[in-house]
Amino acid sequence: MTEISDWIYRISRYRLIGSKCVECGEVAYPPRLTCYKCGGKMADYQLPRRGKILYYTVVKSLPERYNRYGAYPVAIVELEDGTRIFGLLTDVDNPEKGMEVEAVLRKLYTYGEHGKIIYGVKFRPVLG
Amino acid sequence: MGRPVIVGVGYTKVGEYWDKDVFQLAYTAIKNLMDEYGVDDVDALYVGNALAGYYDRQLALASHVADALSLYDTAVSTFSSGGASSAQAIYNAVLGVASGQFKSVIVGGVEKMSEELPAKVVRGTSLVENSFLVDYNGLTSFSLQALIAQMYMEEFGLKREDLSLLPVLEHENSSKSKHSQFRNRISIEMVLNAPPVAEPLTIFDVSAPGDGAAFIAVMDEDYARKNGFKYVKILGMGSASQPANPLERASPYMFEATSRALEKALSGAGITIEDVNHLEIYNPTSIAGLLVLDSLGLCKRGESAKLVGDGYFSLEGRAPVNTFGGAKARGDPKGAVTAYQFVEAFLQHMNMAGDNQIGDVKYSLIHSMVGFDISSYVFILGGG
Ligand SMILES: [Zn+2]
Repeated sequence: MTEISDWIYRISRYRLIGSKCVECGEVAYPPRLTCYKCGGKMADYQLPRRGKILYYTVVKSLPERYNRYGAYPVAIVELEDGTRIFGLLTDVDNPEKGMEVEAVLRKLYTYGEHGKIIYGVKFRPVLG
Repeated sequence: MGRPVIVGVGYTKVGEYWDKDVFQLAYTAIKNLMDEYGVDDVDALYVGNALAGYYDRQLALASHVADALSLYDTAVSTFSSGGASSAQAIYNAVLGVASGQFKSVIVGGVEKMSEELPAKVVRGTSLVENSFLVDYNGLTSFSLQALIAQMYMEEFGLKREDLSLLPVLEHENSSKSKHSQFRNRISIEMVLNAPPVAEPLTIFDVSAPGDGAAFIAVMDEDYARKNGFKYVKILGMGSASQPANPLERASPYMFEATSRALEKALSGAGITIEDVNHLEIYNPTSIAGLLVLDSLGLCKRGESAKLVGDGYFSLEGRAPVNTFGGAKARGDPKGAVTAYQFVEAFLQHMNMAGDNQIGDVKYSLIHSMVGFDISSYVFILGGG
């Protein structure tokens, strides 16, 4: 992802804004240009920030840019409106299925000659 | 209208070539093909390659492969879509011959993966998935598939051991093959106890980086016959796509692109899946392999692992699959991998498969896909 592409999608990425079909109401994240169900037009849609872990795994074969700090957990999270999305987990040593999580803005990685910092959403356990 | 047939193959052993680059590998495979089979008229050269651009090595690869071989009176095209790069090249080469534009095409792929560090390879091979979904989010091809594997196992009540059946079969086939990268036999326990890449998948569930080049000569049947070539026919082919995000699919573990491509290929060939008795499928992971087999319509969804366990897909079984080890054991040089599948089908039909020879091969099915069944390709070969 180049710096410009990252900048273009910053609002959606920082605020967890997906898209919703104006024809059939299907919700998607990452946002889409057309609806995968009916081909309809998509409009911005604010996803709920809370949900629960459905499945998780720990990435141990690390990709470039995410290989600075060792293995890390990723999950399929079901948000409060029923939308299921893929996401990184944070602030959690032992993830569990069914664990309540909430979206927080975090640094994801740095890249490039100028050490540009890329931010985005991760999910952490709901406190208390 | 031309009728496309395969008259020859050229390929290197899959492995790590520290002393050969992408051009030397392509040269070796193409030169072997031309010399061994006497192919000297080449209307087009189509080349699949996944990573040379990503590795800062070379863009517009096909032009430079043609230049390396001093083949200047040819139409060239480069195809770059991960493990389906050479599937796309072959798909279009077949169209070129079928249209009558070309009488003789050399088509295949080349990949040099061992030039870069593992993290670069992991990212490079994951970038065929939607990059917002996977690359940006710290997911990888393997961890995405690990999550879907959990859902699949839960839905159909499969055990971790059921995932291991296909890699064990593939390594068994590979142990007898001269051009395969990993020729060690493995056991269900070894897969289970190997280091994880993302649970439940271990290193024995997933393909490893490999270098290699494989090319085939596709000709018009009349032209091939007149020039005295022996050949295998390409009887049908099809391709289709589905959403890249598995969570946007009717079911996250349904390979609908594969089933639609299959339907088109079978109807083109005028046969049914029951007529097929040899398969070379593309499965960079054990879970992807089961999902491909599930989508062929040979069994109910979730039951392909049982068929593998019953020996249905073994070398001596009803429909042998990945007879030289597939991506898992023969090796997975991405841009060349479908071309290797064609090479292997050709060897089977010509009775040249050595210790891996299966008896009485009638129709072969070759399957390829971009990522986790985002776009898929199915070819039917037969009538040698
Ligand atoms: Zn819609």
